[in-house]
Amino acid sequence: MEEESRFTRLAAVAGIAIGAVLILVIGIYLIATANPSKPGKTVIRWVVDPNPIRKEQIKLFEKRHPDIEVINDPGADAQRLLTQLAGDVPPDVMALYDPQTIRLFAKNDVLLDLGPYVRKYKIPVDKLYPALEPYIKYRGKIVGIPENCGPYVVFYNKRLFREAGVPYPKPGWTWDECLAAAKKLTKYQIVRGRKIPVQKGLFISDGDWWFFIWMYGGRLFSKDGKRCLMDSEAVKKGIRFWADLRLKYHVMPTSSEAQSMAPTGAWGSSALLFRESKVAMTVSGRWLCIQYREQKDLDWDVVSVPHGPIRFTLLASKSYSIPKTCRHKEAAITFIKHLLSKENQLLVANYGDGIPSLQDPEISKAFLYNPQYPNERNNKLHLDEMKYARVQEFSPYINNLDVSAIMSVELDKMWLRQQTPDQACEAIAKRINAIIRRNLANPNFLN
Amino acid sequence: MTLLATLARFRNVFFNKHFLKKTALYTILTLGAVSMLVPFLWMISTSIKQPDEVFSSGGGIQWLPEHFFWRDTVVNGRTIRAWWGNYPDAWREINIFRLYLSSIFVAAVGTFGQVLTSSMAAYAFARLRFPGRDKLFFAYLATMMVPGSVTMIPVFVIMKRLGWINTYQALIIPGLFSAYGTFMLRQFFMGLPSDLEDAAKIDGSGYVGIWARVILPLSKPALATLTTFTFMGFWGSYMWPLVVTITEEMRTLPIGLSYFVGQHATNYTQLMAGSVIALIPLLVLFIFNQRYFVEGIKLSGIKG
Amino acid sequence: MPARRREALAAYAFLMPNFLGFLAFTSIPVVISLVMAFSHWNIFKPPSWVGLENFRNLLWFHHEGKRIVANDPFFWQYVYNTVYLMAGIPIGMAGSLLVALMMNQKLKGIVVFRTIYFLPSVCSGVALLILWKYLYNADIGLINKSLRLAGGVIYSHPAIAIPFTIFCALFFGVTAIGVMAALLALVQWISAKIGLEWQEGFYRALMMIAGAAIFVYIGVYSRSFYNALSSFFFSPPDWLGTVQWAKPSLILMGLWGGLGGYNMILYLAALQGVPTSYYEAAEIDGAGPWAKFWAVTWPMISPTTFFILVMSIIAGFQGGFMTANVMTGGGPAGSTTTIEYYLYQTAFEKFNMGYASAIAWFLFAVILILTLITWKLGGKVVIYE
Repeated sequence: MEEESRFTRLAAVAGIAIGAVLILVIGIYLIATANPSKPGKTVIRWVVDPNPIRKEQIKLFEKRHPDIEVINDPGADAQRLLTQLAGDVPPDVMALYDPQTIRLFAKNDVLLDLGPYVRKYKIPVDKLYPALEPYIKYRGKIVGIPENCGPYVVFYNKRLFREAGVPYPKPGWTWDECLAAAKKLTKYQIVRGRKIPVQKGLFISDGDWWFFIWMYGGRLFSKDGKRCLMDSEAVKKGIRFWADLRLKYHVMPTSSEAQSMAPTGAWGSSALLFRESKVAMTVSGRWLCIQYREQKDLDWDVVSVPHGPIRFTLLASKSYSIPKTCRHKEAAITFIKHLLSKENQLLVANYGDGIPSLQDPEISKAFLYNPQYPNERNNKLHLDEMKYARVQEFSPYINNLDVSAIMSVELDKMWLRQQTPDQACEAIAKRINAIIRRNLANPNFLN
Repeated sequence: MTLLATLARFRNVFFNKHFLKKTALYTILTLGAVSMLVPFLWMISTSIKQPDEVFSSGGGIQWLPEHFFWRDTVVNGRTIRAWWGNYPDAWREINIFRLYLSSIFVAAVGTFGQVLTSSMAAYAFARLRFPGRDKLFFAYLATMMVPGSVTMIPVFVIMKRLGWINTYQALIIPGLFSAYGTFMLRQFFMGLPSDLEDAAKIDGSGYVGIWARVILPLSKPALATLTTFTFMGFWGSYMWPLVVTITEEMRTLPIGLSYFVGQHATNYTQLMAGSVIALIPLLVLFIFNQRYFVEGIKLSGIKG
Repeated sequence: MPARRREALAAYAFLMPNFLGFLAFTSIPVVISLVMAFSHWNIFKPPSWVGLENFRNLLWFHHEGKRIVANDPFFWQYVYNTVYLMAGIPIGMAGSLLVALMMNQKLKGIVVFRTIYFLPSVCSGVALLILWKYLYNADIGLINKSLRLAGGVIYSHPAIAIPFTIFCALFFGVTAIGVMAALLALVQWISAKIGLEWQEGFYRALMMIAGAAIFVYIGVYSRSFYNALSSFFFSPPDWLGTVQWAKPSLILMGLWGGLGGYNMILYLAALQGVPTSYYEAAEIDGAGPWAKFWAVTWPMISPTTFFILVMSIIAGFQGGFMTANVMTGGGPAGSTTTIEYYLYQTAFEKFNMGYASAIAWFLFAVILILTLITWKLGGKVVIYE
């Protein structure tokens, strides 16, 4: 047994006692101030991604409706949402980020049918852009309401264009024009005998395959969703073009080149490449302008995504739904109605997170000019692009996550030159069709 | 004569086996330590930079920020925040004070409970004989082999039925009963020499006495280790507190830090400032527990 | 009351607090998830019993025309990835033990070292992943930069290049022989457990044949070995961007992190628990440091070794989500995605809780079998007083 002097023993006991008392005090303080009750107020919980604009949105709402308090709950994680819904602790308004999730929830009868409420509160759902329908309706019922959306556009770096002597692109330009410009905007330098890219013309994320699937009029799925058409000639042509951009013309950086030009960090912020003026053009929705605005010396503008024989662009959005088990339906729907109000739509749009989802001439007019960012003269482009915007394809017979997994694996092999674009397309079609067949035979795989 | 003597002494000191061994150890340890320090230094370095200096273009890590001001200064029309600015900013942004207290409370109570109940159970498994002992222990082990994701919903529903959603009970109590602590302490207890316990039994001590006066003091390193690990487990637990809390006030530190990770952009500077603030108690606890790590057990009074 | 009975009652009393909570919060959910594994449950509708269907869909195969195709091809790829990533466990454990032995010495300022080595374990996981991603970058990462620099120096003169190549060849040869020796020793030990005894010279003969074969192989292919080595230095691989190197890179990263982390501390605590009297006794018997280790240290810390091994297996099968998510995005061509990710996706993004439970319980079965094997085999090695 160790011999401990009286003193150390006493010190230890005293230390532990003080520690315990402290913890007790902290505990009492915490529990006492845990859930301050506000009499007379309905409290609703809004589960959405953490975004600095949320506080403003809530302030605006609470000013108009002082009897409702909104808690911004930034934990929109799939595991959390599902566990809470399963355990009957539902959020009041929740954000859903893609049509497949909306469909899954709606199919399982989790979402409230907003139809009666839309009629009662006169929510202008009919004024939403028609292209947003996959985010709104399921089997004819209204289950979600988007407050903003983002058609994909090209952000281009005006200074790099000037330096290369390339005229600024005009809306409606073609892929040939874009490729020609990108080639001029790709520059290298020789460092110790190695050719290192200093600047690349174009950056398109590896996950944005839709631009090239649809490029020559192809589709990923047949109309009934039962067959994958990735191996059709139209799609193959588009994918070949995409592969050439990176592997033949080298106007797009490979992932390690991208990493060395501007380390994209853990959460893959490809916006960094554009911010650091390492790529002249990048394709994304409007939301990245929030980041680009931070870079004060960046001279950027937007133009439509280049097109091939058919003009289109990709559309992304998110939808707000109310779970059926929500305890404060009226308050929740009041909040959603507020999100479609002119002030809120402009608040979010001016912050840079996409464009308003309402096709309202007043809102559109106000959106055109943002006094905080007078340099942004091309806001009209985003509104115009909604004419051509399409939401990505889904099939009811295969989960989109499986599609993404297959696409990224086979396309990775293509990027690593382990297979040609044609082979990649055929492999993808084969694998997706195999899974569709399996799901059709055994519906338990789907849900 | 003296030259030879000096040379001889030189040889004795520096070519002494002991000295060489010590030098070698120090060298190896230092080399490793340098690499271990890098992430920590990077965190601190990031937390004192401006947001656009975090990832420098062209490669390499920029270790020092460009401007090192003690107060906010305007340079070329841009305001550069003071170098310590990210800390109060992060503190205010996510209300670290409350998160800190919450985390400390949950972790302290949880750790105490876990270590206490685990050491009692481990003693039973390690030293006491009773029917079904090994089978029960294996059942304990087995529960750890099931991934937590699939058991989360049942536990949540239990919490809901007990009315513990968004309370401290839900944050603390399920974490008290992981089999990890019991398993670890059992292994350790079984490795202790049984001479002292036999001596105590002969002296007429009861089981509680043996547990409190023989086993626990001998296991100081293991207990210190378990305390550190359990505390770190509670401290860093993200998914469970996230799932089980609804209001701002009940959240813990890791959830607060995740607010800096937005949908489109991550606020690295404040995230790292917050992370540095968050790891201080862990370091303090670890250093404090080191005093229980004394080389070898000094078993005075027992003949070897 | 007979002593046995008293002992049992005392045991129950000691167990009670932990056991009650265990029953309520750990075992009930586990049993529920077991039932779910045999059901079809999409969380919002009541579950329905389907028996073994989930397992059949997960593990079994079916005919497609002439070929046999897995029912769930994703799963097997992820299993392969997960098991591959666990290859570093024995090396990691050895590394932690080594560092713990060093940390156990009576050096001045050893507490400072211990704290520094423990730092990565308290650092933000994201920070670590970002830094390693930098390190592994093909163009600007420190590893490749150093390799190119070294390559420039080494290959500037044949006088340096050729001895270096020979040295590397010897190094590889010796390592290969060492690995072979360790594997053969393991096989020999296991067969001894089962009851098969090997002939005396059999082991030695195998080793000599293996050693000779390795060196002959290297000799014959020396030219391509030289070329391969020089190209390794001049254009080092893209560690995280190629399928062959992605997983080994992650393994290396894990090994580094484990050096100062949890396992090391556990070993340190275990080393502290070895009474100095045992060492003194061994010294009196004339044992050197190597013998002291194998005779005293290794047996005394074997319960901890067992613990670390089991926990590493569990963690290995159940981990990899954050790395894949944050650092590699699932890796080039899906080569760094692990089962944990698939489990999460199936349960919470596809709402297929029954299938996810089946995956979880399959994992359970695998871990259980491995643990049982370890327990039985380690029966003689793990020494309890």
